[in-house]
Amino acid sequence: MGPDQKQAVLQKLAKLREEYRASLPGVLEAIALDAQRLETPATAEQLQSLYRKLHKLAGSAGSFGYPQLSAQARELELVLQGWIHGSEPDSNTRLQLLAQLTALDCEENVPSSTAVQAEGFTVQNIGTTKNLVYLIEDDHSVAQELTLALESFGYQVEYFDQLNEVEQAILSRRPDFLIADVLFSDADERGPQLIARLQNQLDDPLAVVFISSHDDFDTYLSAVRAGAIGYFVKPLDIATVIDCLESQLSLSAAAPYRVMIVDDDELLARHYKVVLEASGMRVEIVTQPTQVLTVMESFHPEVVLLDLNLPECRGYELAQIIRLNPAWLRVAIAYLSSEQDEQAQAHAVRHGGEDFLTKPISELRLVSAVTVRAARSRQLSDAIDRDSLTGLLKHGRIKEQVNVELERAARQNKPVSVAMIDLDHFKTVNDSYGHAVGDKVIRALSQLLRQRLRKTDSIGRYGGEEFVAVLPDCGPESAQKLLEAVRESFAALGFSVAGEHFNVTLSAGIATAAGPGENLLECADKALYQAKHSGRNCVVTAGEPE
Amino acid sequence: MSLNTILYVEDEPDIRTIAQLALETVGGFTLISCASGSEAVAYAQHTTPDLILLDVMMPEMDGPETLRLLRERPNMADVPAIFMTAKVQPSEVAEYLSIGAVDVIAKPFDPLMLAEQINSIWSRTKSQKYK
Repeated sequence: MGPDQKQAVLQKLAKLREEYRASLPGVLEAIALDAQRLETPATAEQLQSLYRKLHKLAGSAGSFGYPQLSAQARELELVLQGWIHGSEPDSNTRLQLLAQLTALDCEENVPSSTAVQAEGFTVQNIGTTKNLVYLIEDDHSVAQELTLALESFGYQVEYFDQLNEVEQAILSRRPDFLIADVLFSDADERGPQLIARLQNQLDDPLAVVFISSHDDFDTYLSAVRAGAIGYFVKPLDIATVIDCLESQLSLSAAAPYRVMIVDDDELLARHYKVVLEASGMRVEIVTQPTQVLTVMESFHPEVVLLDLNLPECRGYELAQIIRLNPAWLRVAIAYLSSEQDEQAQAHAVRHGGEDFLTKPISELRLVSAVTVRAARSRQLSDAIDRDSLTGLLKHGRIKEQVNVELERAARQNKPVSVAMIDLDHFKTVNDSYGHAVGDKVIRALSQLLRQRLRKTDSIGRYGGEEFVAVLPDCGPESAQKLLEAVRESFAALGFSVAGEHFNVTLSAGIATAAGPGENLLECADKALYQAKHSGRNCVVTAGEPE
Repeated sequence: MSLNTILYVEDEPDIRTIAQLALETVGGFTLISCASGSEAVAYAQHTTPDLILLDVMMPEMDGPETLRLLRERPNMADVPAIFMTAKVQPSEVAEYLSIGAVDVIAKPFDPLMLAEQINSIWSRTKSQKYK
């Protein structure tokens, strides 16, 4: 699905959600009315009618962004089911149930993105629509500079010069970030307090970045209490501010965790699967130990949940088999078994696994245990594959990726382009401003590349100030256009050190594969060399007349 | 064989609309939406879909009963079926599988992930079939 199409889907979803929101009061009123009309004892018909309404609500509310309401309805549905199949509850229980039924309400905060929830764990799907930033800044020149920089990174910025104006805007349309330059002096504490009060009205706190001229403990504390995810002291280094927003986004926009369940009790495994999937994970079930290696190869799980008592072999033997392959060291292995004996559990953990979860396990505990391990496994994976400064793929991995995409392109008979990008006169930046500033420039370019390129593109840090982007299904013209846009945005991005402003430019070489077996990296490198010789700050496509 | 046509049975109009978006626009499938089990059974007389996606709790004819009637038609006997439901306790899942469903998707579903979930079930079902 392309970005435009995804945006269209998100817009339609938002519209459907609006319609649903409008219909909710009627639905809740009908439930409350049914509850009030229940006779003593309640007739089977009355109970069935109420049960059906709750069941519908439980199913629909969650998909329309009301996870709490959905969970409440589901709980009440189960209670009512007990009532239908059992006997009339005592008068106290009955009163309590009726009170709950009439108290159902839709005043929960509807998230701006789609959410699914299981037992309190929410996974957000951030679309490729532009991220919205509200900016409060009374210094117009700072506001202008920040707005330009944010826009070049693909953010949509709305500007306010008064704090009280932004409050209404947040309540009517929630932004992804609030960047606020508010006074933190003793004389005027209203800023952070007002934002803290605003946060209290929201179920899900807003990500706030503060800009301030103070840097002492008390002001940091009031910023944290107002929900700060970042705090920057003037004069502002814009690249660092963007860095802060980007890392927050990459946290929430990550791909779903992949979990493999190895259990010969297929029904139980399926139950775990639905629970984990409802928390936004992807799950594969393996019931035969002999299938484990094949599924690992194709599915690349981040967490493996192993039953201890399996046909053919023991769970810990399977863990050891997985551990024999160095490529799977990053995979977290946890046992999920009804084995109660502590000795046996300890033995299993000593042999290949990392933890022991005992069946029966609550849904909450299962989801939290798997989430923690998956996050850890992904961190480890990133540490192995990715460059620590930029978060981009390391030299070896991006070279592999070039080959993977070349093969895919040959198979699908589609073009693939490779761009080699190099910062101009980077040595001068390092020599004049120091390596720490040089690092900031490198991070800024890596973020810009991530913003501008598609999800299916791969980006790597090839050398010190050299980057490689692999663009599948992208011909020479589109690649040239894309890189030109990156070049322009980057050249316009201002850096500042101790009040001194400077800009950095880049040169890029592009090569597109016309057939398999071509050395794309070498061709792109030659084109880059040409770009450098044509005066830098330009993009050259291999094969173009000089 | 790739997944193309899905016969979808759901009595709740809101959910039908959102699933239509999730499966047609996001997933690119052809969706035949039916508001009731009897509508689905009537449809199955003319055409054979690649997959059946059913709500469990529906008035008049519930999901399991709908599937049983669909299965009586020779052209529908081997079409994989998935139940969509909020009732996913092990005993409930066991019941759905015992009456011939290949998998269960939990409600509420995420509209942006539904197509991917169905694709993954589909490819697993196909690979098992041809093993």
